[in-house]
Amino acid sequence: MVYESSSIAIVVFVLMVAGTVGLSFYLGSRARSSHGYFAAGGSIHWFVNGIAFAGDYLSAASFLGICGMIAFYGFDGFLYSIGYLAGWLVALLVIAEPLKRLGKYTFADALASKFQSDGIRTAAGFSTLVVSLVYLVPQMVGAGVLVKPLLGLAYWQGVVLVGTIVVVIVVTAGMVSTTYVQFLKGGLLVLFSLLITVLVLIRGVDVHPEGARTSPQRVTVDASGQRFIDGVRLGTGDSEQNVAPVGRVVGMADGRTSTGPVGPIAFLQAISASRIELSQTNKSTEDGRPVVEYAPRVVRGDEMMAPGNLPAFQGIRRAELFPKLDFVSLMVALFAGTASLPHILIRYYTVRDQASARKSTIVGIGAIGFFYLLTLYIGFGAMVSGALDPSDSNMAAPLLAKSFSELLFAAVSAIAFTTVLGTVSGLIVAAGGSVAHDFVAGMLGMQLNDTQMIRVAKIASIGVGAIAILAGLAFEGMNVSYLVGWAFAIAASANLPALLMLLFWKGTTKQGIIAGVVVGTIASLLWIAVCPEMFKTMYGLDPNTAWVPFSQPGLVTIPLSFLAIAIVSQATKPSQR
Amino acid sequence: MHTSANQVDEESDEVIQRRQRIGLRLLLFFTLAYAGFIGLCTFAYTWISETRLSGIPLTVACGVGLILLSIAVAMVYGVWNRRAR
Repeated sequence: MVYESSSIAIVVFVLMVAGTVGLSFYLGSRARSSHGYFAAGGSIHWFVNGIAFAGDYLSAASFLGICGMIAFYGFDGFLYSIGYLAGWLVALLVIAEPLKRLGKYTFADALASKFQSDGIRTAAGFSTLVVSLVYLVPQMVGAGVLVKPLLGLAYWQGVVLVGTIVVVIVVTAGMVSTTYVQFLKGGLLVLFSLLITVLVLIRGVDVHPEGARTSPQRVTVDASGQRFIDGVRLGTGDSEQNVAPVGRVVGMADGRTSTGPVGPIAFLQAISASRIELSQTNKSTEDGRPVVEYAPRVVRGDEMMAPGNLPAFQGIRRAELFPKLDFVSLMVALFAGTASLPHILIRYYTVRDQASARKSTIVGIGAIGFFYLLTLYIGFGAMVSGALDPSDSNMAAPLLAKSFSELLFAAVSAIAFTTVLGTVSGLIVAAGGSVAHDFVAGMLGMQLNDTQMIRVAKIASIGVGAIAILAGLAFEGMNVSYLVGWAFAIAASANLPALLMLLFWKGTTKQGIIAGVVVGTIASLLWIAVCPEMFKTMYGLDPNTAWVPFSQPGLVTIPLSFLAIAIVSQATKPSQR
Repeated sequence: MHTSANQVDEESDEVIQRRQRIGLRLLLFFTLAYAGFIGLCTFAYTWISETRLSGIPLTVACGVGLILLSIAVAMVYGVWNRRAR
C-alpha cells in the first residue's frame, strides 16, 4: 500500500519528539552525579517507576507487532501477550527485591555482590551487551517500518532518525529523562489503547454490504522499477490505484448484519460467529521480476481464535514433536526472559528501597496486563475494520485508528514512534552503564570519578547507538517477533539461571556463576546461528538442513546454563575442613 | 548478603525468608497454570480449539483468564506484604 504523509501526523509527531528531547535537556541539567545519571538518584516514586516499566516493556513489538499478528492471524498474537506478561511474575516474586537489595547500578552488581568478583562482572557485562544489542535490532527494524507511512521517509532514514534522536536523549540526561519519557509514553499508550478499544466496541461488528471479493489484487514491477496493481500504476494520484484495504466481515452465523454497540464479551462472541475476509499473500516471479498477489481468503472467526494460524506457530497443528517444541521453547523463553532483560533490571535501582521495587513491579504488571487485554480488542477490531494493509501487518493498529479519525491516527502513530524511542533509550542506557561499570571500572580496574564514569557511559552509548543503526539496516525485512523471541531466549539463558542459583542454592560458586552466564549466552547465540529460521531467512538455505531441529533455543539453553552452574560449582566448591 | 549501596529496608532475615517462601509458592502455582495452558495449546490443540465457553473458544477464555490471574497473583503478593510489614 502507498501512504500519503499526513500534515496532522507530521505536526503531532514533531511536537511529540520535540517534547521528548526538550524534557531530556531539562532533566539532564538536574542530574549531575553518576548515581543520578545511571539510577536517577534512586529517587523515582514507585508509581512513576511502575508506569515507566510499562513504557520500557511495551515496545514496538508489543504494540505494532502483537496487534498486527492478531489482526492477520488471530489468537496466536495474543499468545505473545500472555507470555510477555507471565514473565513479570518471575520478576516480581523472586527477582525484584533481591536485585534491589544486592545491586547499585547494573545487573552485574547484584550478581557479583556475594563474591566481589570481577570475573562475574565481566561475564554479566558481556551478556548485558549481547542481550541489549539483540533486543535493539527489532526495535530499529520496527522504527524503519513505522516511519515509512507516517512521514513518507525511506526505511534507512527511519532507522537513522530513531538512532540519532535516542542517542541525543540518552547522552543529555541518562536514567532520569529515560524514566520520565517511559512514564509519559507508557501512560499515553495505555490510555490511547483504551480509547481505541472503546471505539471498537461502540462500532461493533458489521457485515460488509459488498460481501467477499472474488479476485486477487496483483502487484507487478516493470523494467524501470515502476509498480503496478492490476495493470494500473500503483499510487495515490488521479490516474493511479492503491492497494485496497482488507479485513471485513462477510457474514454472521445468526444472519444478523450488524451488532450495534457491544460489550467486551459480546464482541468476542460476535467475532467467533462471523465469517471474515482476510488476505493471503502469494509471492512469485514473472520474467525474473517479482509479483505479489493478495488473494481474498474467507475464514471462520472461531478458527481465528484457535492457535496455529501464524506461520511460526503452525507446528502446533502438526503431529511431529520438534515443531511443537519450537512453540513450547518460545513460550518458555518469554516466561523466563522478562526478568533477565537488562533495561528492565536496571529500573529496580531507580527507586528508594525494596518495598518500592515491589510496588512498582505490581503497578507495572497492572498496566502491562491491562494493555495486553486491550490488544485482543485492537487486534480483532482491526481484523474486521476494513482498513488492513495486506502488505504490512505492523500497520494494523495505526490504520484501525485512522478508520476512526485522522487525528487519532496521528496521535497513535506518534505514540508508537515514542514507544520505539523509549525502549531503545532504555536499552542504550543499560548497555552504556554496563560498559562503564562492568568493563572499564570492573574488568579493567580503572578508577574513575563521577564525571569520568558518566563520560565513558555516554561515549559507549554513542557507540551502541551506531551499532544499533547498522544492525537495523542489516536486518531489514526480518520478522520482528522472531527477533524479540530470540532476545528473550538469550536473556533467559544467560542471566536468569545465574540469578536464581545465586539466590536459592548455597553451593553456588563464583566460577559456577561465570560458567552459567557464558554457557547460556554462547549456547543460545550458537543455536540461533544454526537454526532452521536463520537457514531460511538469512542464509537462503533449505531449513531442513539446519544443524538443530527447531529455531527457538530457550528449552535447551536455559537448562544447559543451570547445568553448567551446578557442575562447575560442584567442581570448584571450597574443600571442607 | 543484605548489604548494598542502596537504602536498605529495616527488615529481619525472618521477614525476608517468609517473603521468599510465599513468592516461590505463588510462582509455582502460576507456573503450573501457565504450563497447563501451553501444554493444552500444544498437545490438546483440537480439544481446546473446539471447546466453547459462552460462545467463546476456550483458548481465548483461558488466555484472558491467565492475564487476569497474573494481575490477581501480583495483587495478592502485594497485599500479603503490606500485612506482613
